[in-house]
Amino acid sequence: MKKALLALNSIKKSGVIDDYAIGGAIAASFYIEAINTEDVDVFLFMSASENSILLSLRPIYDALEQLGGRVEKEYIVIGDWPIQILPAYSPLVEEAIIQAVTVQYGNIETRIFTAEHLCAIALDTGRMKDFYRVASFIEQGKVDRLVLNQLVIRYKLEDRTKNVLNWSSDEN
Amino acid sequence: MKTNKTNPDRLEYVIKAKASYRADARAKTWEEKVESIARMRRAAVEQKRHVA
Repeated sequence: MKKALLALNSIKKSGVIDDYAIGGAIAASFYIEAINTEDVDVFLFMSASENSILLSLRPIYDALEQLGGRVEKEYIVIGDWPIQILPAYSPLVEEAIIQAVTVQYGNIETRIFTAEHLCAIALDTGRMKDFYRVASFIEQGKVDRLVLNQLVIRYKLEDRTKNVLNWSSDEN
Repeated sequence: MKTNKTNPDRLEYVIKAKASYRADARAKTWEEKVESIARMRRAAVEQKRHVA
């Protein structure tokens, strides 16, 4: 993981990307118990190139390949970890990137989504494992319910909360 | 089928062991948790290779 984070920090420093934030199970594991996952979800802002209206991951992949990464399917593998580069696909994810928090992985600085944004994105994604993850955040007391409730209202996720078994527990 | 064969002592032991495991899992640092996920991934790959 350290190799992957160093590579991401390197392409950020060299200006290939503006900034990034880790989401998904790897970020969730910062707050709650380890969650099995295949990859590291890295979210960032992207703009279309001059000659195309389509977003291209090519410059990012090229830069990461120069740092030892190799492309495999939709991932770029750095060290042992497949990295999935995900452009901000919704206003909620954009907000999550902007408000991401800086944390240390060993001696390496990186950014991860807040617990509340991870929960809101999980509700939005809406698979059973996502609802279970939100329940874990609540059960382990790792989420500010007031902040999460505000996100739920702002991004119209109220219906999704019905699928979280302990949603009503300790709600403030 | 329901049975009355549950050994209460054994059940208590299992519940305590699970609680202890979860407490240990939660006490880990992020780095330790990510390493634990990496081990799960490696085990899954090994399992797939074994089955194939």
